[in-house]
Amino acid sequence: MMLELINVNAYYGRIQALKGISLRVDEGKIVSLLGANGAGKTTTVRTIVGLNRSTANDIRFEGRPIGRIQPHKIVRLGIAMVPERRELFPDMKVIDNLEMGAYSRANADELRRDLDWTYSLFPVLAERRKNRAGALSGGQQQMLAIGRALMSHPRLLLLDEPTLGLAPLIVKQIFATLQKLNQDGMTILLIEQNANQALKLSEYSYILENGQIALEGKSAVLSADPTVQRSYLGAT
Amino acid sequence: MKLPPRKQMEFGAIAFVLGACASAPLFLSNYPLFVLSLAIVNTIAVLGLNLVMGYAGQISLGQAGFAAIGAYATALLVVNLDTSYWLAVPLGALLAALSGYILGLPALRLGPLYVSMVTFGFGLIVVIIVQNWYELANGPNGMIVPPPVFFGRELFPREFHVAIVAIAAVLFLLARNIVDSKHGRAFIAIRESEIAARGMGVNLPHYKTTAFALGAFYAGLSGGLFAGLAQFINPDAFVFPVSILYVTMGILGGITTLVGAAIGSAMLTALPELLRGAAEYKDFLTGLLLLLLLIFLPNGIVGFVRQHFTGVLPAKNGQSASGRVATHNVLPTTLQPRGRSENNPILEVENLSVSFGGLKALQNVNLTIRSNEILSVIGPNGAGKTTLFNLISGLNRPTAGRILLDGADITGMSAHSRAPLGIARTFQNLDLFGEMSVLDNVRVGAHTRLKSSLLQAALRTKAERVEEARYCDVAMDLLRFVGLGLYASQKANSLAFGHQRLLEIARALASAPRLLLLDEPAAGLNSSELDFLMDLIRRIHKGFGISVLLIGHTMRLVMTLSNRVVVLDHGVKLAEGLPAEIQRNSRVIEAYLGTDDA
Repeated sequence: MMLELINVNAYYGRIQALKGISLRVDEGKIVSLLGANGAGKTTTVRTIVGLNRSTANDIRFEGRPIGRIQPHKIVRLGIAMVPERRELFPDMKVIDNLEMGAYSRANADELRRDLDWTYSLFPVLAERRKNRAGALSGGQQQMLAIGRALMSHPRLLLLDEPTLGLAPLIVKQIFATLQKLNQDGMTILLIEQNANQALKLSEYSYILENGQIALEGKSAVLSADPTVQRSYLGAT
Repeated sequence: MKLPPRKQMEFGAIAFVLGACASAPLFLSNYPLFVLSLAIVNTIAVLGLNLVMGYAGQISLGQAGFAAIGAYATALLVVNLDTSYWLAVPLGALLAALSGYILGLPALRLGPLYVSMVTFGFGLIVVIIVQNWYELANGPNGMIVPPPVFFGRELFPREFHVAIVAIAAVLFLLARNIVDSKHGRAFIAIRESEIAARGMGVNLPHYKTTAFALGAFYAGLSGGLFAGLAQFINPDAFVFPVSILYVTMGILGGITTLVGAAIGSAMLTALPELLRGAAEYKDFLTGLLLLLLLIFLPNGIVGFVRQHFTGVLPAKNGQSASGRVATHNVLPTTLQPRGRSENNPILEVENLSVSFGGLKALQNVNLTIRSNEILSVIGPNGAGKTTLFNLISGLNRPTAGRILLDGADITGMSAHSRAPLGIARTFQNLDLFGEMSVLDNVRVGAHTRLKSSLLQAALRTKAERVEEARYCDVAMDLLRFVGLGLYASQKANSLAFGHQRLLEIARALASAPRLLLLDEPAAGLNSSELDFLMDLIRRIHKGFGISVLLIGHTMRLVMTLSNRVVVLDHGVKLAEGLPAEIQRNSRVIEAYLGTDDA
C-alpha cells in the first residue's frame, strides 16, 4: 500500500472541512476522488502534502507516518502535487519552472534524464522552454504544471483538476498522458470534475460529500450503477 | 434601533473609551493628560494611514510629511496672519490633502514598491525644506505656537484636551461612515484586485488619488492639533522615523481596521513613557515588544480579537454544508426584467486586431451580438477568446478595429466607464476581492449604480443610507439567485472554486448589465452543478433579457444554450454558425473538438 489516510480531520479556522476521511491508494493504481464543489477534495490533497495540518499521525506514505512532516520534506519522500489552477511561476521561463520542480534534488545526471523524459511526454514544452510560463496557452500551462510535478521524480502523483478550463482536444491528451504515466508505473490520485472520464481512467474511486467519504468502490461498478450516477455524479 | 449583540458590545466599548478620554482632565495630572492628548492626536494620523494603506492598499511612508504640512501651515497662519486657530487647522489639512492628491498621481502609473518610495522621498523633502528655510519657519530651531484661543480666551491644556477628544470622535465617525460606504468598498476592491475593480466600474485614478488625499487630510489635521497641543513645533517632530512609527501603530492595532488605529497609537504613545524607569533599556524593550507582538499578532490586535472571538460564521444548515448549491428559483425582484426588444445588434466588433509584442493575438475579427442572444465563442486554448473579452471590457486596447455598443464607438473608452453602459464580465481565472465578504463582493458589482458622493457617505445622509440599504438588498437577492445566500458573510476566498464562479456571476449581475460576458463559467463545476449553471444562464437570459457572450469548453453548455457559435483559432475566426452546424464542421472538429466523442 502506497498511501493511507485513517480518519483524517482538517479545519479552516472553526470550520471542519474534513470529517474522518479514510482512504487508500495502492501502488501502481489510479484512484479518483470525486464530489461536488466544497466537498473537501482539494482539502484532502492539501492535507496529504502537508499544506493543511491534520490533527494526528494519521496519514501514512509507504507505511511511514507523514502527518507532521513539512511540505518541502514530503516532496522529497516522493509525493508530488499538481495544484488546482496550476499555480505556475508565471514570470519564470518554462525551463525554470521545470527546474523548480526538481528543487529538492541534487544529481545533475538524473535531472537531465527527467527533463528529457518530461519533454518526451510534452514535446511542446521543449519547443517553448525559453518562453515565460505566463505566456503559454491554458493547455500548455497545464502540461507545464504536470511536468513540474514530475521533475521531483515522484512515486505518487496527486492531480487537482488537471483538465480545468481546457479545450476538449487537450483534455483527451491530458487523460492519455496520465494513462501512459500509469502504465509506466506511476501511482496517481486524481481529483476531477469530469466524473465519467475519471471513472473510466481509474481503478478505484471515492466520492466525497460534506467532508466525508459518501461512497467508495471499484470505478467500473460505480460507473455502472445508475443510483450512484444520479445521486452523486449528477447524470442526466 | 436593534443591534446584534456583537455590535452592542462594540458600541458599548467605544462609548466607554470616549467617556473615559473626555473626562480624563478630571482625574489625570498634567503630564499623563498630555500623553493621552498626544495619543489621540496620533490616532488621527494613523486613522488616515489605515484608510490609505490598510483599506486602499497604497503603501504610504510619508504620513509624517503630511502632518508637518498641517502643523506648519497652522502655525504660520496663526503666527503671521493672525488667523483663528480653528480655521488654520482645517486650512492646513486641506493643504496636506492637496499634496496627498498630487502625490497620488504617480501612484497611478507605478507599482506598489515605487509608490512607497515616492511617499518616502516626499516625507524627507518636507523635513529638509522646513529645516533649511529659516525665513519661513525658523529652520531647525522651530516655532512657538500660541495656545489656541476659544471665544477670546486662551484655552488651558485641560480644555484643549476635550476639544481634541471631540474632534477625534467626529473624525473616527466620518472615517467609519466612509469605509462602510461604496467608497470604502471601492478602496478595498482596489487593494484586492485592480483589474476586477476596473471591471466593476471603479475609477482607479479617482479612488487612488482620493485615498491619498484623505489619508493626508487626516495627517494634516493631526499635525495642526499637535501644534496647538505642544505649542511648539520643529522639524524633529516629523522626521522619517515618525512616519514609520505611524505605520507601526497601524500594523500593531490592525491596519485594515479603524479601531486598530486608536489601540496602536495609544499603546505606542504610552509605551516609551511606561518604560521611563528603565531608560537605558527603553529602545531595546520597545523594539523587543514590537517584534513579539508582530510575530504573534500578524493581523494586529483587532485582527487577533476578531479571529478568536468572532471567526467566520459557519454554514447554517445541512444544505450548504453538503457543499451543494441551494437552488433558488425566485427571480430577484430588485432586478426588473427588461422588455424584450427586437433583434438589434447590441455589440458589434469590426475588424478587431491586437498584438502583444510580436504575437498577433487577434486578427481582423468581426462579430455581432444581437439583443436577447446567447453567443458562444469556442476555440483551442490560446486562440484569443479571453483577449477578445479583455478588448470588449476595455482592459486592453486593440491595435486596429472598432467596438460599437448600440452603434456608438466605445473603442477608446476606459474600462470603468464601460460598466455603467451595461457591460459586465466574469474572469476565467477568477478575480474576486478575496478578503471581502461574499456579500460585499456583490455590492462592489453595483458600484456604478450607487450615486452618493464621498461627502454624502462621510456624513451618512438619509439619501445615502436609503441607497446603501436598497443595494444591500439587491446584492442579497442576487446571492440567493445564484444559490449562495447562505455564504453571504463568509470571506470570498473561503468559497470552493465552483462557488467562486457563481459569485462572479452575481457580482457581474449587480451592475444591471445588458451584456454579460461569461469567461468559462463551467470550469470547475461537476455535472449537477453544470445543470444548475445552465438553468441560471437561461434565467438570466430569458428572465432579465440580458444578452450573453459566453466562452466555454464544456460542449454540453455551449451546444445546448447558444443561439449561435463563433469559433476562434490562432486569433482568427475559423467558423460561425448554429450549434449543430459547428458540431459538424470538419475544420472545427480537427482544430478543437477532436475526432471521438466531445
